Amino acid sequence: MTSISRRYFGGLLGATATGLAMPSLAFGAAPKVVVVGGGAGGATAARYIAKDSKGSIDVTLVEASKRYYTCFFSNLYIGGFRKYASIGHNYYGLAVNNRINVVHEWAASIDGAARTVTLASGGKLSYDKLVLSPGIALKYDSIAGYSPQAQGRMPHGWTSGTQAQQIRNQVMTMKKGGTFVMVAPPNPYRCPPGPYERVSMIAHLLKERNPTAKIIVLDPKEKFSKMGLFTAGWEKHYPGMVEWIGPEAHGGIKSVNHETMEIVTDLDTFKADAACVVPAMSAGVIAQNAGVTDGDWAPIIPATMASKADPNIFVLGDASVASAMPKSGFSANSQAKVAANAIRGELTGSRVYDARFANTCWSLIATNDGVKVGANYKAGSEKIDVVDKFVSQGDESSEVRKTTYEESIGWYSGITTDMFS
Amino acid sequence: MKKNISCGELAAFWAVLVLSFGAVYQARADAGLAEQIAKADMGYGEYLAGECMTCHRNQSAGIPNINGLDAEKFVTIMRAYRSKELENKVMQMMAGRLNDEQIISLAAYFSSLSN
Repeated sequence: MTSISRRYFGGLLGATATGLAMPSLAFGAAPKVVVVGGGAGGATAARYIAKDSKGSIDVTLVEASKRYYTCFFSNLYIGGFRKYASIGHNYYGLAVNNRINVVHEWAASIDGAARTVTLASGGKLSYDKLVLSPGIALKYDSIAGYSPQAQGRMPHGWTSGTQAQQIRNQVMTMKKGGTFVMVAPPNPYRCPPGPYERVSMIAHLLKERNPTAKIIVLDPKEKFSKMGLFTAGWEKHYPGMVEWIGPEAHGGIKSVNHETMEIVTDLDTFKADAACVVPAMSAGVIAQNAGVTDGDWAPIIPATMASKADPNIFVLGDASVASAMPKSGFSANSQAKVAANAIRGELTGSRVYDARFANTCWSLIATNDGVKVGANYKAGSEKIDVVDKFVSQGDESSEVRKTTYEESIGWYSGITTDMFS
Repeated sequence: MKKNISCGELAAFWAVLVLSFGAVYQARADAGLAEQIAKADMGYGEYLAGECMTCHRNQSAGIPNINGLDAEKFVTIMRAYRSKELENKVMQMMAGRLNDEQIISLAAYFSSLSN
């Protein structure tokens, strides 16, 4: 079989199957796609389906926020490298330029058999295909004493927005020579290098404003993403300020108390002047409600991102089990294009091309000291498999690190345009 | 008047000679490139371009806007990333999994866009 016939095969198959399974097409009504979640996965999927189908698919995006603050680059906001407004985006481009019906509500429940989404207001949306890209839910009870109530004084900051503002404010107002305690999350979680970039950005703020302050990182993991690069960066830029304590040393994180600002481990009780506590995570609640999760996350078919539990539901981004792909905005954006292509093929008979995925995570350690890790992937029969990968090297020149940081700024501009324009 | 040729001038002469030869050789190898670009699968190019669009959008620090880039120039640059003659870990990886047909489809698609 040539590469061309292999490429077209899916499209032809999709067209035939669609003709049989989608009676609405026979009567000329536009097929309906509902996307739940307007982040890197959902916004991209909605935009690509609407844009590439040129109006032949009716797309509705359900997203509670009228202004979306990206999790990616929220650490740079905390460190003072970005203005808060620069990480906020609205849905004008999707609604006006791409004629997507943007509904600013919470999706409350999903009926897979009836193919309907019920909104928190009680309104109902029907769909031929549903895209779920709800991001994460925080498992507050994974740390004793942590709760939505506790997150005011011990913010997780893992959903950007106000929580990120609280973390920055805590650092800015911390007493001289005080201690900031960061409780890192267990695997798997959104943004693997995120906790360590955050530590870097907090250290960057403290170095200028409060140089005798200390940062203690309590980690439930033995190792973490770009560990060598981060620890070398902390020694170079913030000597003596950051102390990372792994599970072998602290013996387990037992509880937190937001009133006394104490974090209890087997080893010791740490008294914090300011803290960031990131609990374990699971797929967004609506994915659990839709019945597409197995345990905490939603298994998918790699070639299309369709749920293994329901062929009419596609799960993107953090909520999905994407095997080797990390939970990142870049991954979600990449998966969204694969799903959009598959959904268009199924609904309109357009050509379906081979699934291809990519990811790169850039992290900033200090001014002009950027590092990156990335890979590209293909759809295996059961899992998404790595094709090739790279990571920044420890002995790179400062010139290369500066270029890497500048590249991340270009990427931010690119991906947010790809999501929202 | 006799002129002494310095080492630097001699090196430059050889560099120009080698580069010219290389260019001619490459041009012969790519005699059909324009034709291949003209016949490229634009739909495939558009799909593959989704991968590029995550980063290449706006003219900002770090990453260039590639909309409207000359197709033959696009092919030359992507082949150079693929063979790792051009530096950048992300681009070497992205180009590394593209075959000539895919690079040409991308080149045709991006050159058709307005900048």
